[in-house]
Amino acid sequence: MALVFLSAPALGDIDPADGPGDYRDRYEDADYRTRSQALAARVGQPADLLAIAQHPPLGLPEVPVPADNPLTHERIALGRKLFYDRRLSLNGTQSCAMCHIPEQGFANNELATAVGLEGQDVGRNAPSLYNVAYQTRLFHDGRERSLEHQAWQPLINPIEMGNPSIGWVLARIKSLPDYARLFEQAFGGRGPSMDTVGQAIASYERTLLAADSPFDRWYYGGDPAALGESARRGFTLFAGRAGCSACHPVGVRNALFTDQDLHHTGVGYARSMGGPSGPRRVVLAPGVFGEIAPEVLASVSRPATANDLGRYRVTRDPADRWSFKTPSLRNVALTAPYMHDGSLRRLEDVVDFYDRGGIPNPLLDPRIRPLGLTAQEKADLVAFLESLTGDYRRLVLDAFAAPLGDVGSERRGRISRASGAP
Amino acid sequence: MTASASAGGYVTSPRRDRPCTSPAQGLRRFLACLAILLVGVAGAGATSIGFETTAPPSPQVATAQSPILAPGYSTLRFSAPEPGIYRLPPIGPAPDGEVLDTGGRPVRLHQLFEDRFVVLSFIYSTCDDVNGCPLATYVLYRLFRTLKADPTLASQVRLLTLSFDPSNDTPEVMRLYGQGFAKGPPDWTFLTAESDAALAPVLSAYGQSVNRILDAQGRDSGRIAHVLRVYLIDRAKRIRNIYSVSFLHPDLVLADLRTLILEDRAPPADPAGSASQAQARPSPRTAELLAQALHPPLGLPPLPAGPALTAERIDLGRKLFFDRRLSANGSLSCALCHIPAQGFTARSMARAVGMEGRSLRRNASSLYNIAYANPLFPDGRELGLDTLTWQELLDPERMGNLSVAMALDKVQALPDYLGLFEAAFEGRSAGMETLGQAMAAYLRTLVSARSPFDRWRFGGDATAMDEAAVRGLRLFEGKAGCRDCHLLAEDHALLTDNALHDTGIGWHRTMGAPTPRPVIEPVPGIRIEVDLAAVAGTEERPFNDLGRYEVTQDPADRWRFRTPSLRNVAATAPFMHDGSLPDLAAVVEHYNRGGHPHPGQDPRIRPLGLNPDEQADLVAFLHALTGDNLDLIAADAEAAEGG
Repeated sequence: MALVFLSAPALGDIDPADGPGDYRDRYEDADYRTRSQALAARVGQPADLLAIAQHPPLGLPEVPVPADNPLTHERIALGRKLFYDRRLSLNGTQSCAMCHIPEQGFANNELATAVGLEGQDVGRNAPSLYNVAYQTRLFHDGRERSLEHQAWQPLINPIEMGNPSIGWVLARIKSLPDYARLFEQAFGGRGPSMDTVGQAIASYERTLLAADSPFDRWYYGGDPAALGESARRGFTLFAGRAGCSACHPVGVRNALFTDQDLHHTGVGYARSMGGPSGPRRVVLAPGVFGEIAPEVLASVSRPATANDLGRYRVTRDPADRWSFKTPSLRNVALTAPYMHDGSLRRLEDVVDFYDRGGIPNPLLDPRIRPLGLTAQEKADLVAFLESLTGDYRRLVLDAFAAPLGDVGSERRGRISRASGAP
Repeated sequence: MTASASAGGYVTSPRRDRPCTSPAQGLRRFLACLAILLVGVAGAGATSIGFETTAPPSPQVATAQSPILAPGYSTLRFSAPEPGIYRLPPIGPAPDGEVLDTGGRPVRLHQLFEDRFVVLSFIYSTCDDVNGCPLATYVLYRLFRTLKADPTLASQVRLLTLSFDPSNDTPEVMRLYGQGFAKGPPDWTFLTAESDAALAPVLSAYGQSVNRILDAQGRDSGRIAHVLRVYLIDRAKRIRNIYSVSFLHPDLVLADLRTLILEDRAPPADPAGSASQAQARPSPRTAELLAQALHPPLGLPPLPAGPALTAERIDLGRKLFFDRRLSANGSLSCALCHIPAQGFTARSMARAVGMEGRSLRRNASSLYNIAYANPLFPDGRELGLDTLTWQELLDPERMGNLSVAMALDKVQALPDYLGLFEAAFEGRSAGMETLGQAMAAYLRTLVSARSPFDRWRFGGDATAMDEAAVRGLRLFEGKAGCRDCHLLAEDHALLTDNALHDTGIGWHRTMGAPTPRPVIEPVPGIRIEVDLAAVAGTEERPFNDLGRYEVTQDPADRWRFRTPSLRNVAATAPFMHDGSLPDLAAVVEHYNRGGHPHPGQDPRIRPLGLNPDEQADLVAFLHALTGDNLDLIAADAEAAEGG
């Protein structure tokens, strides 16, 4: 796909969401134009991330920080360096940021389910990292509780970053001269270790706060002009008849828009139990669709046998089958596609899904039921959801300024056999 | 005074003289209680008030009015289990608390526990329920008599009787209550407390619910509603059994006591350990393990550098190693595949079995001398023992935890780990690093050498190895070329080059033609040829193990596996990364044949042309590599708790 160059962007003039990469929102529209920019046009500007975390934007509570991992400039900077460093994957191709793409909502707008090492399908949608500092359960199945521990899982997952072991990752970091002394400086003399690597990455992630959205300025800031009419009607539905706030609660002083719990919406059930049988309508190019037979799709897709039982895999409690974590709705307009499997492309699809009452099945959360919303009401809800986009530009511009692991400076994926160390 | 009369007089009469604190009145109540106690003794066929009888009790009941007596008064209707054949899992820490001795001096319960096994009963002296406090005192008295006849046992045990009625049971009352017995050994100490309020925390900590019964006018009737509980406490101050009225019998308590003593035979290694903090059960051998790790036995070089080794870390690591609760479903511990009595591998399985019966692809590696192994795992993917632990914990096929939180939450929630991490790691709690380092500390102590070979080669003892083994060593270093990869240094021998090689074993499994009619041994001594076509569909699914390639993705690394050390090799069958060779003779035969020739095979592996005698000599040499401390390591491990 050819890159479409916009007029030479000036710092502050561009929307950092229009970053490099094929931004596929509304790809199916015939007048789709990518807003991708050349890498060279990407201009970064470092932000004071510590200050952001210490003074969260309007609408967010204080950032919880573990007692043994206080936020410091050094830890945040080190975590940021690790986050963008491709050398931390087995073959030197993948960093955390390749699935949690800053200009794509720290998620991936282009893929329903993430792609890991050597093209392997990870099976779930890469969740956005905005405001991840507040999450008490991590991953779609809530299996991890702290960012410090969470950071290790993609690193050593054979289908994500693919490192064969924790020790392998530590040895690699220790072998990279540009990390020399960084850990020691950030952690009082302690070098790269199981604890310090997790702590550094967690420190960076805790600073990814995006709020002070139009909704926040209206609801918490008392600015009547901040929110449009449609979005206000949407909020009334959100907190009222549509019942969204039952799981995406809004507090008196702040709002996380998540109950941090796991629920069964039917999305997982449908994927496992009721696959589509007829031809499927697939976007081939902007405005061009094709009806593709299931067997043709199957020949180019991953096997349909992948059965993702969600929380059940963690608890082995049959009642937890297909339960997934409630994501925050903050910045949701930036983080398409939606649901744990990325199966819904747009916010309109999500609102339609819940208006229909999800996918009825015996385990469906009783709060999900047909809502009977009119087209206008659904549009109002979408307008409200779009008003939850916070002040994210400084984080994206800061990400653009982050050092990228210099893959060219070493042999990619080659392991020194003599010592066994990378 | 007869037993039946006493029973008739007291069993149903509440205490009336209220309030009352004088010793004289207390004494009256004490005598009342004593009379009740006699019901039991009389019912057991004894008559003497001084409890001097040792006559065996009989199950007859004293009078028609007497209540049905608890089993503790009579002969056990079944045989008490033989001590040592069962286990008493720790129920929880035995709480501390301040009480008063019979001299009115404050003393803490843990002080009284000292380093003894403790039987602790809660009573009040004027209890009129024959199956309540009098039963407790009677059973402790029977224990007291038995212990008296066994001074060795008696010296390790302390009986404690604590009143939960301090307002009436003053120290003086308790002195009178106990004066008939308290001439030890065994020690039988009678206790009370300053006040109800002072005692409340102790009662609550032991879960003793005590309620004063009020009469119709709402006044204290003098009777106390409570549930009979007697606690058996081990030397680590953990509750190991709680007896209720139906199971409080001297024979059962005695069997339990002896079981704990058997479990705890050897003395603790670290007498300086804190008395009040929960501790990993001090292993008898920790000091020895620590010493051998700090000064490895003859034939081994100094231990490679690593986090500091301390007794606390070793104890904690051992506890983790044997703790099945660390697996996803509580069924697997490290020790289930690395079995101490089987060379820290599993001798009965070519390849290990993981979570919920999943067949793993590789043989469980022996852990002897693992401190010197680097990289780790047959494919060398791990580089540190501390991080290796998490590899196992998080492997869905092995310990099965899906997240770090799943494993750490368990450790943090288990009361028997309370304070252990903090004590071992300067206040740091259970985390990825501390857990990994504790496990590494234990693993690093599993050093083993001073084998016949070491004594012969490095110790100058020409008689340490026999002729065959000496001839085997010549072949090992010479014609057979084994030492090319199983290195021998001037002053020590690791017997591994810590590198990875293609020996043909992995290639053969993947690429070699299957044996059409393999011979299997379904039961020892019976070998049958199997027609593969006949069992098609029932055999395990073939799998491909590419070894080092899976780590590096370098085609040159296909089917390369790490050279294991040959130390203790005679104790760690079966052999090769997939456990496909059942004994040392088969291994020697494999190399003598020149492996399975194919383009990637290590060029050092080539037909050796050894005759049967030479092969036998090589095997004899390999047998001479067994260290002299395997029993120590296994005994230490056997004393560990299963979790």
